[in-house]
Amino acid sequence: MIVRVKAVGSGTVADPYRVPFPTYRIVADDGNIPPIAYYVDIPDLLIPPGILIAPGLTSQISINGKVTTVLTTVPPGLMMQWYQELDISYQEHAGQFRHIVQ
Amino acid sequence: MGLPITLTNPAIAGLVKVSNYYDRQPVIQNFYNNNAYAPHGVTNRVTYTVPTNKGAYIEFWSLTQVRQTAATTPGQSQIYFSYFGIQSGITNAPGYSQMNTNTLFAMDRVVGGNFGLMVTGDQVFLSDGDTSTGGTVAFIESLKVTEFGSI
Repeated sequence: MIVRVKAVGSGTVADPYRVPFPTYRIVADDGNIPPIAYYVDIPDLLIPPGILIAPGLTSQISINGKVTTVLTTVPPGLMMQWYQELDISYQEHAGQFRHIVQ
Repeated sequence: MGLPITLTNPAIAGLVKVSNYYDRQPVIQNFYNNNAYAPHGVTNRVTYTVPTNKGAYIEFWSLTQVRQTAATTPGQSQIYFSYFGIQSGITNAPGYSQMNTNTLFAMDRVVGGNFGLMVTGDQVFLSDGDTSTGGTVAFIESLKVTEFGSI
C-alpha cells in the first residue's frame, strides 16, 4: 500500500533523507525541497489489518501522473498499535520505527 | 578410500533434517526504482530490514545511473548499496557508483549477486544523491531478497 510518511534526515551520507520504517520503497516525494513527506510503498504484511480495513483513512492523490489510493491519516490509537507491532516484529530495532503518517 | 561411518551417538542421531532456506516459509521481497531526479540530497530510496526470528538472502542487486538532461553545473551523482550488520553495528557499502559528467546518457552501472546471508535485524539500503545544479539523472535500483523462517 502507498503511504504518505513524514521525511526525516538531512540529505547527507551519515543522515540520508528517509522514513523511519523497516522496509519500504520511495515512490515519490511531495515536491518540496527538501521533501517534507514521501509517498512510500510498504508491504501490506507490515500494516495492521485494522488500518487496512478502516474506512476514511485514504485519499486519492495523483502520483507520477497516476491517481493512487494513499494512506494519509491514522488515528492515534491505531498508530500506537502499529508501533507496538513493529517493535515485536523487529525487536533488534525496537523504538526506532516511529513513522508519522500525514 | 574412506571407511564407512555409522552414526551411533544419540545426540547426532537425534538431529532433525533441516530444509533448505528457500523451503522455510519463503517470502520474496522485490524492489525496483527507475526515475529521473533533479539534484537532491542523499536519499534512502529502498530500505529492507530482516524481521526478528527470520533470515534472508540477497539474491541479486543492481545500481545504474544515467544522465538524462544537462546540468548548469555538473556535480557528483552517486548511487550505492549499503549493508548494516546488526552484530557488528557497522554499515559498509559493497556497491558504489559515482559520475561527474554532463554528457547526455553517460551511464555507470554496478551489479551484484548472491550477496549472502543476512541475520535477524540486518538492513540494506539503496541510496542516491546528486550535487549538481540543474539537470536530471535517472537512478535505477533493483534488489531481490528471499526472506525465510529460522531453523
